[in-house]
Amino acid sequence: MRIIIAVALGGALGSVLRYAVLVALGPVDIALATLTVNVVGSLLLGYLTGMWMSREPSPWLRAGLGTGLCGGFTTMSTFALDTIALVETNVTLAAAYIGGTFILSIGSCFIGLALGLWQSGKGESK
Amino acid sequence: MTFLLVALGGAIGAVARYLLGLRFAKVYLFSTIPLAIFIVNCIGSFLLGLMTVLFLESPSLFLLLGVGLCGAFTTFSTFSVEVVQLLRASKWSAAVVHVLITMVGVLLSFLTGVWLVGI
Repeated sequence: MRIIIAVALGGALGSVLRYAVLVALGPVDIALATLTVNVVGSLLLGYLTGMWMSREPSPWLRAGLGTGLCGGFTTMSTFALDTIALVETNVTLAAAYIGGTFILSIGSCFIGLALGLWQSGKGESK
Repeated sequence: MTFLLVALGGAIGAVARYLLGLRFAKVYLFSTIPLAIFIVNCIGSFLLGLMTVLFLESPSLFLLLGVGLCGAFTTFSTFSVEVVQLLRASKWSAAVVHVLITMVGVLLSFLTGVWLVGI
């Protein structure tokens, strides 16, 4: 039950943060707002995953921060919505948006994971 | 008020993803590509496709169920970690296949949702 509550709280907070980014960047470009949350959220979850590889966190912390916060902050459905909206106006930009989202999110996740591993290694050598 | 709607939908969406993720935790493609989050992302994109058309005139419902629920139900960060783990294990083709089926799967799911309620 504690895990479910942690996921709900993290999901609520992640969604509100995602909506705040949408409110802030939406007037500039809605797709840019989604791109931002997906890249930042992937970086954060990569970092947490790296940190947690050597030190297993308590299950509710992993559920709250990983599944809840990062999961709720990033979104795949809105990515699909943005892409289809872009296809209707500018096909080239839509293709760039698809490629950019996947390359930048996976790339930032890779960097995050490396940082997390490095950080946890440093903690252990102390 | 708008933030409350998003928070409520987000809480429900994240818990639903967690539960469905557990349900499909052992489902793999070619025994290397995890499919749980892929399934969740396709269902969520399909639902957002429906909602984009259905709630065109009701912004509050779209905030609760579209931005909040579907937004949090689907996720990008877990997908990214799955791909990075495949890359770290030098499973290059599995990583490429995972990216491709996700790209095509979520876009087709979204379009199917839009198409079902028709524009």
